[in-house]
Amino acid sequence: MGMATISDAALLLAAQLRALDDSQLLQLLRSRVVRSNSVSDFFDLADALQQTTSLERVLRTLDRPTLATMAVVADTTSLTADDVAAALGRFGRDPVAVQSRLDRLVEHALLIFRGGRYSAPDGVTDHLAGWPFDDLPSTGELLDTAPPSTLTSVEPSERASLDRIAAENAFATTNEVTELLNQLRTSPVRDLARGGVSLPDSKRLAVSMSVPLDKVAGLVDIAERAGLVATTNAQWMPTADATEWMSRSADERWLHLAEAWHQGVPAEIRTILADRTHSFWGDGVEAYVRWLFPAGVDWMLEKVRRYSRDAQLLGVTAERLPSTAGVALLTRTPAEAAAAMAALFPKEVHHVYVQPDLTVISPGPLAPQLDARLRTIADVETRALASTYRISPSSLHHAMTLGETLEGMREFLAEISLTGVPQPVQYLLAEAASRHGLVRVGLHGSVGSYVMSPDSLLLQSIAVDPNFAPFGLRHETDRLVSRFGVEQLFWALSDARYPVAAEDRVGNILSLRRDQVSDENPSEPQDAQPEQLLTKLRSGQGGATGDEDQAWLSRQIEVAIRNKLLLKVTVKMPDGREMLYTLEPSTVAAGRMRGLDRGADIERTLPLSSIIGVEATTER
Amino acid sequence: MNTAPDGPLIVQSDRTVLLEVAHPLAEDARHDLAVFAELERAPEHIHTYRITRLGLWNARAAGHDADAMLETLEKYSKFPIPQSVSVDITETVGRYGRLVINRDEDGALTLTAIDPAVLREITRGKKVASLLFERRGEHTFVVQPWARGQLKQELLKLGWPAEDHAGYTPGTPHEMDLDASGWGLREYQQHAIDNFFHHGSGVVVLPCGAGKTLVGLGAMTQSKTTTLILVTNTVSARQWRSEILKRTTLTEDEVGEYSGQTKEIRPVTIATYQILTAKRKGEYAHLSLLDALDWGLVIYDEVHLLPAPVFKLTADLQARRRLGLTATLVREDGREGDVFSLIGPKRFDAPWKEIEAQGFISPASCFEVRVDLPENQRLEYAASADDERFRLAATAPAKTEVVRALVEKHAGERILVIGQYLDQIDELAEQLDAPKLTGATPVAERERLYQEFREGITKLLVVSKVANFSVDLPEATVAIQVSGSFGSRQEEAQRLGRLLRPKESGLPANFYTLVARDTVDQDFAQNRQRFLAEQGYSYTILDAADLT
Repeated sequence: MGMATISDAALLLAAQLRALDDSQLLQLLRSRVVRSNSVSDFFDLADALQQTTSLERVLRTLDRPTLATMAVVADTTSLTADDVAAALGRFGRDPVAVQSRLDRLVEHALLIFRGGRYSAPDGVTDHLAGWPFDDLPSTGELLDTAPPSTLTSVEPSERASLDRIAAENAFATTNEVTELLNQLRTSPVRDLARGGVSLPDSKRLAVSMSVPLDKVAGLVDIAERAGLVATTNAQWMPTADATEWMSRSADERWLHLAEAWHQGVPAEIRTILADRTHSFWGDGVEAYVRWLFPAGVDWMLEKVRRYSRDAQLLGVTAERLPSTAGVALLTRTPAEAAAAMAALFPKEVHHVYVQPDLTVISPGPLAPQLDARLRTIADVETRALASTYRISPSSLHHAMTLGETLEGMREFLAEISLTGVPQPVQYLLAEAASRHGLVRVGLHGSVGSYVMSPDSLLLQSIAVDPNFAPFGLRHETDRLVSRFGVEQLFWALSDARYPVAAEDRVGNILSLRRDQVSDENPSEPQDAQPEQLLTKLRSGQGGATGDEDQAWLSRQIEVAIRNKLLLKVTVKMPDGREMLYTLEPSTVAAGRMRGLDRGADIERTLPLSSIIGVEATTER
Repeated sequence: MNTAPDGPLIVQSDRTVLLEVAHPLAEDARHDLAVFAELERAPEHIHTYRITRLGLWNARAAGHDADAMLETLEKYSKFPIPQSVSVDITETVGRYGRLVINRDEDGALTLTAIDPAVLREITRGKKVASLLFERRGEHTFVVQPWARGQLKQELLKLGWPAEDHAGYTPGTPHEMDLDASGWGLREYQQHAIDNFFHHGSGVVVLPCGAGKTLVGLGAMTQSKTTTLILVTNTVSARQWRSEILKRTTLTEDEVGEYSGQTKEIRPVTIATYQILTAKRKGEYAHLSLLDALDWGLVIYDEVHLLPAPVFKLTADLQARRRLGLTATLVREDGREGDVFSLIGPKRFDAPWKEIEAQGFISPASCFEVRVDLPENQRLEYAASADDERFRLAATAPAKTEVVRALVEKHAGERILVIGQYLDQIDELAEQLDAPKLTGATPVAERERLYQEFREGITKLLVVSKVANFSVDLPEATVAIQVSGSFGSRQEEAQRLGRLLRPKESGLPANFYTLVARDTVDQDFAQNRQRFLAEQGYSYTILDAADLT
């Protein structure tokens, strides 16, 4: 059997793809970003994977040793792993590393592995051949260009001041991410198709969180990386894990964010950073990235820029130098990093001032559990080192809808207040409690709603209130009914300051929340396309008959016909013998293939059900 | 310097500084902090100060440097000072005084910069360039003779406030003295006057009732020169006049009123902002007043209410000494920068409560009284469109009974009932059998009613908004607000100012606002509560049913 030709590499690649299991295939589809509408089977997929765009997207993620490995294979027709290692020079010294790179290239469908040898699909070979014309390194340059020299070490003159700045940023960011989760819980924001948050939503978040607009993207990145936010139905929401995270102390919350950051840094960059714990991040790292990722300079630098930005936000660095906690994170253990940071964080407070202007002020960062409870009773007005909360009729109303009681709130405030609960707050509490639930909303019929109240005047007021005209409320015995749903009516009444509560069929008060939580596990893919494509590929194998192998066979023959390839066809004869024919296939239809057997100079028509193997060949 | 782990201050990255009032070091911290930070809110336990550019420049103008300010923060701060705040303070303070306006030996105005780069930066813009005449060397420009005020305004906008050392015209000398028989300037008033004179021009901030007029009179008699006093309205002009006659050696012939009614120009002339900004055929008709005499001092009363056109006129008065008097530097139009540039930096500021503690202002208690609307009014209210609801709530007849109950409760005291709607005022005046005072009341009649009230002949007055500004009714101990407009901060401050003046009776002052329950009234009441509690007044919510 001769060597595989350029044209039959497509068949080999398709076969290799087909042999992948679902999880491997899914991973490939994700990493190579293939458009599903142009792909209906593995041959289309093999084609699609060799398109320039798809190749560029994957090659930019590969480091120099991996690219060199691929280039060495692409420069010849086929090589064993040992051949590859020998050709790689300084990148070939570690056989385990070479093998792992080869495996990765096969996983990415950038190399074909068959019979112990590696070859490159023609698309890959062509693409690499064009590199020197695009100012990208040739195979020789990939192998020979030495990395830039390492940086000189800088020891900050004022380590304490650097650490203080780092801690200030880390503390602020930790609180801002907490605030982000609180904001997203009540009003999720739209996810853009290209990822991230839209400008209007960013502006809204910046205002409500009191952070500069350009900080919002970084905070979303940090939270996403830490698995605290995810998208559901194209909306950013906190994940189920977020609640538990929010209840931790500030240094524990910081550690979670910092660890996620560290894990998220590409492994190669992580190594560089660990080597540069006493150097300025920036130019030196950039030169190294340019050398290490020649096909993805902009892409990787953008990543590095984002990671550097987030490192600054998280206090891993300050003024471009790693902080004490940052060095511990990069080179020692997370626990050491957390200890270094915790020592510089402001101490939590457990008491507040409740004032007659209805503000509640914590004279320092309030313990998370107290903060969470206070938030149900009062709205956050400013969030900083010392936070301000404001109690209002609507905040109390909301609290009681969530199950708070007059006694519970009184006790809680009295317990955490340094100076008692002032009269205006007491009055407000008592008033809100006496009125809460005076108006009840519940389900009427299957989709409609009713409003009722023991205070007939209150009910009458609602009936004549022009604000509720759109609900088409009408009297029905002792209540008002609407064809609109319970939640719509509930929130409209609540917004109009009526003392409303939702109730179930037996009159128990229900807690309605505008809060929302993402039901997606953050580790699961957000983009459904690769899954759809996988399903399509697998179902395409079976065809109408449901016979997967036979469909695969037809497709291989069709590709051979299109590319005028010779096929070695193994046929199982009715008597059980296996025959090998070399054929020039001409058609495949109605369960049979026709092909010219040049050797015997006859046209054979073989039932597909009898063919047990086909293989491209150059032998006549 | 290290921060005090248990200090009374918390410095936040948004430039606010919180002060824990009960802290043993709170008074010291407040004293040092007030030099460069503006008190924004002063509720019972935590006061909020804000560090602004103007505040920092005001402090710099008074001779404090950035290191001293940072030292104050570090000395009293519980947590480390956010780095952005310390950098910002150093940078902002460093901008003041890099430019100086002077007068050379030929009398020409000059602008000099220590750093030529600053000159290059500011002259890049057309506006500043057009105010400068010729360059003299690397550091100096000659300023257009008419541009002193405008230049300061423009430089402030660019973030490079200039120090004005160009001096003042002495004005025409005029002999006058305080007639301090039976009274004397309080220590802080003298302090304010001294500070003003030391710097030449600027603003004295004192709460209503703390004797701003006396500071004005003190400044006049110390400068002994022809003086122009600009005030908000005619009633206020007459009060200034009567104070001048009562407390200085000046006689009626020496004090003139320049207003809609009278056009007198005397060595001391009191004019209204209104007459100064009155136009005839598109031109200011009374501009000549500003040059009618060689004024050596111009006093701006209630400088936070100074109308915008007066700023423009003031830009041309930079050669004269200017004293601004106000209870607050906060302007509803945000033009605090113009006050800084054109009148001058703040020269004296006393915290309200501190003066109150010294006994010069009577403490006031605030009460919000919730009034239940009867059934028919509740339904009428519910069925009304949003724009009618405010009036319905404000003028609810149910409030009349509550007013009557409060008047009875405070029988013998002098009581003001304040309303917004004329028909409501008519109704209340009739029901309470009390005289009313509105915009339609002629000036003479107004003065007579005020006088009778002061003398105790009349103990109950029903007044409209007119009573809000610049009228001294020190004997009032009770104010009952039945309805008010949308409650601007200024209006509330003025309304309360009526009650804050020292009481000869020794009675505490009480301020009631009546609020129709479950109406928009309550929303406005919430704002009022916030404002008053933030000012540090005690605030209590009552049910009307408990009063009647």
